[in-house]
Amino acid sequence: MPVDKAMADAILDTYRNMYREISEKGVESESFKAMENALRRMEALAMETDDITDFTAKLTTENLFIQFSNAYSETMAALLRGEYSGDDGDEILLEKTLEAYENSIKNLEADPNYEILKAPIEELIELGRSGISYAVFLRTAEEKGLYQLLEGDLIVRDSIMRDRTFAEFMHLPLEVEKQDKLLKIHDKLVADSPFKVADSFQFGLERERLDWEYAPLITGWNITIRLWEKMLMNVYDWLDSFGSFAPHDERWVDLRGQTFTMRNIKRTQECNPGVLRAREVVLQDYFQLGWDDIFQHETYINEYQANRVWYSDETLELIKKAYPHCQPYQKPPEELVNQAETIYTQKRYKRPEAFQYSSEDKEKFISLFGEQKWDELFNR
Amino acid sequence: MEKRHQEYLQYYQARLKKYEHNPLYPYSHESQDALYQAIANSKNLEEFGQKVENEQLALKSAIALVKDKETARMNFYQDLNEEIRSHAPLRILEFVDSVKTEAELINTVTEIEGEVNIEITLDLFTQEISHDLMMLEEIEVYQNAEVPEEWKEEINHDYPQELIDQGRKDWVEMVVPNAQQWDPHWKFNLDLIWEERHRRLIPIPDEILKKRVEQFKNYRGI
Repeated sequence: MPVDKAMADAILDTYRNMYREISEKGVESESFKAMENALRRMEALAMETDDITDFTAKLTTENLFIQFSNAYSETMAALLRGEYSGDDGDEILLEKTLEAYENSIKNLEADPNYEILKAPIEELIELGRSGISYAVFLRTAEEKGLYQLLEGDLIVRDSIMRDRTFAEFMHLPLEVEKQDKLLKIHDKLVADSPFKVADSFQFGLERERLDWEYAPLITGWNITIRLWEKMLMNVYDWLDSFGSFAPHDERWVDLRGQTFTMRNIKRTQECNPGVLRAREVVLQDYFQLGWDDIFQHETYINEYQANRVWYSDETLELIKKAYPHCQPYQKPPEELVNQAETIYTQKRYKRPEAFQYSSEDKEKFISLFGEQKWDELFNR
Repeated sequence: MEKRHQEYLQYYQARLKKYEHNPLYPYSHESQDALYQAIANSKNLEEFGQKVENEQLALKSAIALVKDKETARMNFYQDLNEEIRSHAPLRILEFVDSVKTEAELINTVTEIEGEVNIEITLDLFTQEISHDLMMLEEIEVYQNAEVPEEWKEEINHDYPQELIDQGRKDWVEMVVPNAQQWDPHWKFNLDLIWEERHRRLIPIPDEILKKRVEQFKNYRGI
């Protein structure tokens, strides 16, 4: 059964357009035939394969993207050699170059960084149309670092800053740290370069190194949060399951009826302590951390400050008091259950600012995406 | 010197300056210097053009830039012990000095990158164990939880077994077929978990990871 047409078109249209561009020039060459064959095979696979994953895997493993691109490059190179062999080659080259830059500006229109990206291209075009010779155009472009800027260096620093601000907004301290280092690296590359533009290849390697260094740290951070979050919930649910409100709470209510609801409550009361203790072993095994370490741990402090710790301070204190009693075959003391009842009845279990953004967070978001976006997402 | 000749001389001077004092581009500096010397020591641009063609200076510049970048990448990946990722620059550096045309250079580099990208894709399937860590923890927690007798069947056996059954089904129906689209003979290689590029991404002690590997085999039916 053929791949969904819209999905296949999204992949193949680029190649169809490249083929048509050459075909309209009336080219007949071995490399053009190779383009034709590669495209024909891609179209056949779109009909033969069942889903997009299978389709793209076959396109890759049969090297069709590469075959087509290589054939296209050879065809274009031959065309260009034919056009530029004359005496007025310099003028033609300059004109073709400026035409290509003008087209590239049109292609960038949909990019969110359009205004920044088009600036160096417009500068190149202005330079080219200023009446200078092709050789002077080339030299000036090199000296102004315009080719490096074409690779996007103007937006690189800006995008690092934006990524850093977004990481701050999301309260991801390791990401913030990484972006700070990346900024220093970028600025050093700029300072060291003869034309004061960071070499994009060098920068790319440094960025990849930083990502590589931080990957295990970020994974460890996230695993730690995952473990203590579940432990807090184990104790919280266990204590609440002894409350008179439990049969009406969505954590235990079963659509199959009261019998199942009560069984759910009994399961929490009798099994959560065992589950909690088994989770403690995992936290200890992984990071040599215990329950008492959680509340001073940097991950907990960060999540608390980010308003991602859902429980009210009062509930957190109650959880800490309940913990020592949360042992297999034990029940919580009556006074703790009474406190849980009061909190539940008065709906004081959740922090008022839980999962809310602070005014500082709001400012950061607006600086990145604008007030309209903020209103759209958060002021509905 | 004729004006156009002078203008091109200054252009090649600017190109040379780009690579001065940059230890990352020794070959490019050398090739740009060759171009600059060729144009500086030519009586006119026609003579320069002849030198470029006879000595293949443009091709040598392209080769030089590839050598510089691939040497940097090779050193980078070897420094990081990213063995599979280093295959592309290693293979490119083996053949690059023998190319005869720009087209051959571009085509061969692209083909090698394509082939190595498939190697990388397949190698990355080793990280399925990282993705499974949370599930393996859940299974262990529920299997080991100390619970009253009436709950042992459900908590210590039924629920973990349900997770394992789903894990095995998912492996056979999704993970393996997906990997075998890239290599029809693909099988998970447990030894690769201990290769540094994969091991470093699982930030838990060795003895715990050994336990997780056994649990992973059971979870996925390997």
